Amino acid sequence: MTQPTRSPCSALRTLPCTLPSMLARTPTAGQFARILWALELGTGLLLSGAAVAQTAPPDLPSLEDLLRTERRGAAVDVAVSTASRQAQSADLAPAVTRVVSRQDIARLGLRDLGDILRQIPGLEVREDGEFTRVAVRGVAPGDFNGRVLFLLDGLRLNDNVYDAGPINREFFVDVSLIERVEFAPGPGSALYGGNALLGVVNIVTQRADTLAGPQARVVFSPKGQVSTRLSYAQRLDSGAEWLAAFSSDEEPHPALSFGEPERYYAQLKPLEWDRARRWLLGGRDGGLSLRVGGVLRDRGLYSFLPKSGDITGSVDSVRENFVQSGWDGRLADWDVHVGLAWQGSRFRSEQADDTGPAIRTSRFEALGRWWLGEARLGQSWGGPTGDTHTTTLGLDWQRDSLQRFRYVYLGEAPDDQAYSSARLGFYVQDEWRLAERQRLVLGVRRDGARGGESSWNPRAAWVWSPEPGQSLKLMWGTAFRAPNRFESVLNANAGAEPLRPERLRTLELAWQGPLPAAPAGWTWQASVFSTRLVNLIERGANKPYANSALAQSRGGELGVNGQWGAGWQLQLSVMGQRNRADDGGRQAYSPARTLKWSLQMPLAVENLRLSLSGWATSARFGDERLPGYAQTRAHLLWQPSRAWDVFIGADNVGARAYSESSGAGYTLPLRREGTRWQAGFTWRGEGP
Amino acid sequence: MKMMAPLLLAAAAALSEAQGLDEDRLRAAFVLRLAQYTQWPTPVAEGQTLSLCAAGLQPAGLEAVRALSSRPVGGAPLRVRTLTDPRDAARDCQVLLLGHPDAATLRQWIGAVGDAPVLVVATSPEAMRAGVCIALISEPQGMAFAVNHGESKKRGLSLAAPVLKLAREVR
Repeated sequence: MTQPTRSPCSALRTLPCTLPSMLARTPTAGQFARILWALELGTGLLLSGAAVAQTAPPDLPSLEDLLRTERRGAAVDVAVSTASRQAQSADLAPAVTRVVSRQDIARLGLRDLGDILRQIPGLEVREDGEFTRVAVRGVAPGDFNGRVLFLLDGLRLNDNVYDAGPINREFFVDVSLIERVEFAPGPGSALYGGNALLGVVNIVTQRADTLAGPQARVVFSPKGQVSTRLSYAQRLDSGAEWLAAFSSDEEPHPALSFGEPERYYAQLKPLEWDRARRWLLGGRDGGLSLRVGGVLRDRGLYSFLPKSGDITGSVDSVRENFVQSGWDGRLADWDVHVGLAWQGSRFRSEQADDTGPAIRTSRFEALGRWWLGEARLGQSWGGPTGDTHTTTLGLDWQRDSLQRFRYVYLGEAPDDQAYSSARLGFYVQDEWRLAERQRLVLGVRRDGARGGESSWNPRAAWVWSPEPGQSLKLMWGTAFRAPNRFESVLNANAGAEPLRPERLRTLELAWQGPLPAAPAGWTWQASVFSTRLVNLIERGANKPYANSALAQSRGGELGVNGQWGAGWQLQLSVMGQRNRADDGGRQAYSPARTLKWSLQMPLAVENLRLSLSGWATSARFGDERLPGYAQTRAHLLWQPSRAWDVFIGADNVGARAYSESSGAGYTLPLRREGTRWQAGFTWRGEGP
Repeated sequence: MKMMAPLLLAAAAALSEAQGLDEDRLRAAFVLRLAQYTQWPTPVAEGQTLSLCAAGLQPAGLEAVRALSSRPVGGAPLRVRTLTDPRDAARDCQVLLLGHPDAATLRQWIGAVGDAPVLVVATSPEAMRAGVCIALISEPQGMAFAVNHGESKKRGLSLAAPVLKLAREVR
C-alpha cells in the first residue's frame, strides 16, 4: 500500500469524496398521492375481457412459429440459474427466484435495468439525482448498491472500489439485449461470497437465436432523449456464434431534480445533460466463450462554486470495461466450469473551484482494476438408500491489482492514494434428493481477504414440490459484506474507527401453487421472512462511516399471477415489511407497504398488444415525511411481422408529482412530476 | 370520467383469437418438429415405424405426445411407447423423451442408451448438463430449446441447420 502525505478526503466534504459527487440542493415537498386509478383500469379490463375463444392451430406450426407461440396457462419448471449457480427448475431451486423475461421487457416498455427491477416484488428502485439505488425488502442498498450482487451472465459486476452495482445508464448492456433478469432475494454468500447480502441479480443476455442478423433499435422522446442500438449476430452451421452490439443513449436536458425555482431554469438547464455509449463483442463455440465490452457515461450537472456560490457546470464520467472468458463441459463424470475475467472502472468528477487566487478545475477520480477467476465442479452420486446427492465444489479468486483515489487541480501534481488486495472464496453445496421432487440443500462458503477477516457463511434449504408448478420452501442462511475500499479509506483518513463487516441472517418460508377455485393458469405465492442485520455500514452527511446497531427486518409478500388466452397476463403483489433498529428507529425512507401490478393484453388488431403496469408505496419517513404515491405506465406494442416492432409508451400516466429518497445518508429527496413519453421501433434483418 | 376509462379500453380490447398452446401440447409439438429435422444414420425402412419412447412424463404430457402420433416423421409413421425401465430404452427407440426433473435420473437413462443412435430429448432445466441431445426450456411466456451438438454427432445423428440456428444455445 502507498500513503501520500496529503489525504484527499480528509475534509470529509461531500465533494469530492463520493461517486460521482453532487452538492446539496434544496428539495420541495411532494403531494399526497391516492392509490391507483389505473388499478381500477386494469380491473375493469380484466373483468370485461376475460373470455377468449380457444382454437388449436389447424396444422403443426413450424419450428420458428413454435418459438413465438404463447403458452396458455402458467409456466411450470421454468429454468433459473441464480439460486445454485447452474440451471435448474424454479420449483426445485433452494431460493425463491423472480424472473423478468425479454417479452416482459418489450411489452411493458421497460427502459433500463432500474425499470426491470421495479417489476419485481420486494425491490424498490430509488433515484436521488446522484445514483439509482435498489432497496430489498425495505433495507437500503448502501451507498451504491453494494449490498446486492450483480452478475452479467455470471460475471460479477460490483466494482472493487465502491462495490457499485450500476442499474441505469451506466449498465453494461442495452436493455433490448437482455434475455431475462433473475432475482434471488435473501442471503447469497454461501455461494457467491461478499455483496450477496440482500440478494443476487443475474442479468442474462440474448443469444444468436433472437439477435440473428442485423438489428437496429431507435427510441426517442418529445424532450429530445434518443436511444439507439445497432447489432449483428450470427450462428454458424457448426453451432458457433458471434455478436457485435453498439448502443447510445442521450438525454440533452434531464429533468432538474430538486424542484428548482422556475426562474433558474434558463440558467441551469444548459448545464444538465447525460449521454452513454456501450459496446459488446462476443463469441461462443461449444462450451467455450469469450466476450469484451464496456460502457462510457458522461453527465453534465450544475453545481456551485465553493467560495462565491455562483452557479457553474461540472462533469461526472464513468468508464467501465471487461474481458470475460469461460468454458463449460464435462470431464471424467464431473460437470466443469472455469472462468477468467478482467475488469476496469474509472469514476471521475470535475468541476470549477474558486478557493484559490484564480478559478481552477478540480478533479476527483477513483480507479479500479481487478482480475476474477472461478472454477466449479459438480457431480451426482448415489446414497446408501438409493437417494442421490448432487455436490458442487467451487473456488472464486479476485486480485485487485489497483484501487486508487486521485485528487488533483488540473495542471498541478496529483494527490494519490493507491492500494491493492486479493481475496479467495471456497464453497461446497450438496443437494440431497430425498424424493423425486423433494430436496434438502446444505452449503457453506469461506471467504478470506488479504489483511482482512475471514467469513464463514452457511445455508440450508428444504424444498418440496408435490407437482410441477407447486413448491414449498423453507430457507435459512447468512451473508456478509466487508467494508469496501472507499469506506475503509474515508474512515482511515478521518481517523475514525475501522469498520467491521456487515452480517445478516435470514429465515424465510415461501409457497407457490395453483390458485384454488380459479381456472387453470392462475397461481398464487406467499412468503414470510425474518432478517437480523448486524454492523450495517452507514454514514450521515459530512460524517465518516460507522457500524450501526442491530437491526431487524420482518415482512411478507402475497401475490397472484394469471396467464390465459394468447398472451393475457396479470401479476399482482403486495408486500409488507417492518424494519427496526435496536433503538426502535426505522430505516430511513423504507415504506411499510408496496403494491405492484401489471396487465398484458393482446388487442383486437392483430399483433397489437397493450400493457399497463404500476406500483404504489406507502408513506416513507426519514428527516422528513414523504407521502405515499402511485405510478402507472402504459405501453402499446405493434409487431406486424418478425422484422418489426413499433411502440409508444408513457411513464407516470396522469403526470402525478411525487418525491422519493434513496435513504443514502448524504442525499436529499428527489421530486419528480410529469409524464415521460417514448416511442420507437426495432428492425430485424434477415440473418445469413 | 375516470371510471369510464376502463370500460372504454375494455371495449377497445375486444376478444382476440387464441393462438397459444398449453405447456404439454407445446412441448409435444416441439418434440415432433425436432424429430422431423433429425436424420438417423440408418433411415427407417419402408413399412417400419419410428419409435418415440417416453419416460417420466406426467399423464397430460404423455397424452399430448400420443395425440400427435398420427403425424409422420421422415415419411415413417410414429409409434409412441411408454417406458419405466431404462434398460428398455436401448431397444427399438429412435427418440427418447424424458420428463424426469433431475440430472442424476436423466443420466441413468442416457447411460442405458449408450451411444445408440437415439435422439434424447428432455424437459428438465438440468437436461443439458445431463448429456441429452436436445433440452426443452420452459420460459415464462413460451418455450425454447438447447442443443448438445457434440452428443448428437456422437450418436450418429444429423440435425438440420434450422435446428442449430434457432436453438437458444448450442454446445
